[in-house]
Amino acid sequence: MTIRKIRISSQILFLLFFLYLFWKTSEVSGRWIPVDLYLRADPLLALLGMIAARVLIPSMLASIAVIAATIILGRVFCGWVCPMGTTLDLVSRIGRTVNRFKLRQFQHLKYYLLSGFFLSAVLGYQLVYNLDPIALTTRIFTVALLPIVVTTFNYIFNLLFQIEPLQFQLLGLQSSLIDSLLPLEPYYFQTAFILGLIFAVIIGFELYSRRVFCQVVCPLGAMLGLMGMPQRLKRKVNQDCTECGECQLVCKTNAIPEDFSQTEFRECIQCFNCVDVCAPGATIINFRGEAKSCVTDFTRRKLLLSGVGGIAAASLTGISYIRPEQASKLIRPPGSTPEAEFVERCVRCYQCLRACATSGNFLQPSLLEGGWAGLLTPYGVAGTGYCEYNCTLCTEVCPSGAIHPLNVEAKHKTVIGLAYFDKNRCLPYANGTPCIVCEEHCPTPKKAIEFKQEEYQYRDGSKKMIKFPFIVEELCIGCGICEFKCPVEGARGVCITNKNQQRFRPGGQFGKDNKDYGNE
Amino acid sequence: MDKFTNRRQFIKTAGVIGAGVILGMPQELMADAEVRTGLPSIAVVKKGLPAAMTRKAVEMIGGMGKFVKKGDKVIVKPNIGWDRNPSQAADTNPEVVAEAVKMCFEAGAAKVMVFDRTCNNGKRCYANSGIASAAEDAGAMVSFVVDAGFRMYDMPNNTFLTKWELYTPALEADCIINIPIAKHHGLCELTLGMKNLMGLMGGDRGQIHWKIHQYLPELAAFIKPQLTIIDATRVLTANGPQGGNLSDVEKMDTIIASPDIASADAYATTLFGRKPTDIGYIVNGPKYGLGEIDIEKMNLKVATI
Repeated sequence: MTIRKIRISSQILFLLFFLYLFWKTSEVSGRWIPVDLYLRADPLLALLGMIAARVLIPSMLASIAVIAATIILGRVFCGWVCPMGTTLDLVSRIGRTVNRFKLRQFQHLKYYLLSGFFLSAVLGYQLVYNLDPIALTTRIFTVALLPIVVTTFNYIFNLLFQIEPLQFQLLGLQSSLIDSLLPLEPYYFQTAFILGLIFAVIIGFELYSRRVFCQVVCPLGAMLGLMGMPQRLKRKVNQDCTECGECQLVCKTNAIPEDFSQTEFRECIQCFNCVDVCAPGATIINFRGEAKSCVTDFTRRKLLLSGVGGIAAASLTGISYIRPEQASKLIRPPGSTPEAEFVERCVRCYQCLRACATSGNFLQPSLLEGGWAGLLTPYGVAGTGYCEYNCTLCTEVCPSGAIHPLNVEAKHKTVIGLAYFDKNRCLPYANGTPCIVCEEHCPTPKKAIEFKQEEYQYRDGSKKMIKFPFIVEELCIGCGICEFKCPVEGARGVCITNKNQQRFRPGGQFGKDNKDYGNE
Repeated sequence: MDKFTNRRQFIKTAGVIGAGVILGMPQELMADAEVRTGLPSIAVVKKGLPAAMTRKAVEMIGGMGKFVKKGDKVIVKPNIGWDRNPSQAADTNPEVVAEAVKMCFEAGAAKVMVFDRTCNNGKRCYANSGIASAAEDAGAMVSFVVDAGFRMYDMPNNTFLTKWELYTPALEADCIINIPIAKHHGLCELTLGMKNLMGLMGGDRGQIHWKIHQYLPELAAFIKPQLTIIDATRVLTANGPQGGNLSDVEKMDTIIASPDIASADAYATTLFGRKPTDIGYIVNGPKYGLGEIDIEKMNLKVATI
């Protein structure tokens, strides 16, 4: 067994483990390990998140392990662990991709991006979520890939269900799958297509050359590359080298220059392909001896320029305007930190969406509802679902503490918004039709929707006693089930806004926070 | 021995039934014949354990064998609407459901299925109500209600509910056993057997509420469950149908069983200190061929354990 084969096994195992945690994210019980482990271990998200939000995020200190490994071993995380990297390797294996593009001149781009993200974080805006590979992978898996799998399955299932004698068997099969793997309700994600497209672009490049994303764009790769500079585990080539050039061809990240004995160690991801392919056995990777490094320095001017770009991006993010009616619709998950901190902590990994999709189906990725600063953050939409009363899943899976963990009792008392009736649309008010669906579904033990019974006069002059619903503000927690279940088509007769929302303040208490959403 | 008052009546009844079978007499008339024999058309059992009361109530109206034939596909339809635990009395008592499932198998059922279209998340309701595990332990196949199973049904005999999506696996089964839990409800006042059948409806059920007192008896007349067992072991007296507050739950230790859904519902109103005529959908029951709602006129038998 060569080290390369061990590396491939490691990649497969880490990807399977990633998928296992991804699956466990939506499970109510049986979590023996934090399901957000990969995100917690991401040093880039940890560092820039803490800088931007100006807080220490204890859960993300797990990333120190990755930093330590990188200092000793180099970018093994990229080559042996990263789920994005493994996904790309899988694609290139299926597509039999060879390294067609010599991307050496573009490899610097990721350092410039890192510099921009770093300076924007210093200014208080965490923008690295856009390209961080771990956040991007969970995001794509949640919003694009899993829905594709589930929708395809449901499509096939519905076709088979037309065959009448099979019905009862199929029902049992689907039920057991729902129990273990599938969601009960179909997914609705408004950004699904966009993320699908982003994934398609990343995959598309992979069909032409290997690890394009990792070489050119990945800011985590850039950070680990810089950290790995003093690494001990290095590639060396001895006198037996016949200069056949095979190692340069198989190198995934173009880390071997024209002089095959040299290595660009910031780019090397320790995949051991070069060792494996070297016929005379001239290439070795170990801790001993002198290694020939070739460092192509990125220009300071460009680094400076990209830093300025980061500052500009941060400033422009900060001045985006949120329309007040949109701001009032921005219903954050229960246990969220105050808005200004929330948007900087949130890494848009969509673990919360993933958990919610199999429960209340309430959380959606925002577009510009929360302004540019809140781009792609999770917020509740009562059109697709509602916040399930006894569910605390989203609060349990947040890697960056943007959502604080709540137990069921605390969750029951956490107010995320307030419902109001639109009397022009609500049936009893609008046309005297008796309807109580909102009250029926209201989950608080003492219902937050009550009735007053009054006489309604119809157009023909006849009169009838009708129950008119109203909201009891002190009892309403803003879960949105009333809006979701309201039978009025189109805009509902009862709606929720984020009025009265409670935000969790680090330190342990809940505070009313209705003033500081949006930008400050 | 109290089934038949004297030998003469027994012979007479046996003759009637025998003749009925030979002449291929319609089932309704046969049921009438049974009523005349003294077999109660509705049984109420009080003060016992949920499972024992369920068994006794069904035995009093003739035993499960009267409804479930050998090799039948049977649907047991409890109320699993809400993500609540059994003590909160929002969903049917799991012990009652499990006992009914067992009795179906004893009567020779080939397959017993348990499902309900839930209001909260299905996975949570099935687990938290305790019904999924109890029914599975009793041997039933518990499945989620999935979109693929709904078909549009025409109901030509109805005036209001003439067309609706219903759950095919239930409607194609040989026998439906309806097991609601008796609860307070904001619009219907009480939710009982007929309301429980809404769990087999697809589409936007919220719209049903606009004409609920007409729709429910029409739905019951179309689906015609063979047996209704009302679980009133624990009862929500306020803040229904979901509850959540244990002080709203009253322990009543009562099970009602009847082949007639309207009679069962009518009797259940008395548990809440109400009259059958207080509830619109019960009053409208007889218009659609559902049975007796006057408690005085029912062939009623009450027993305690």
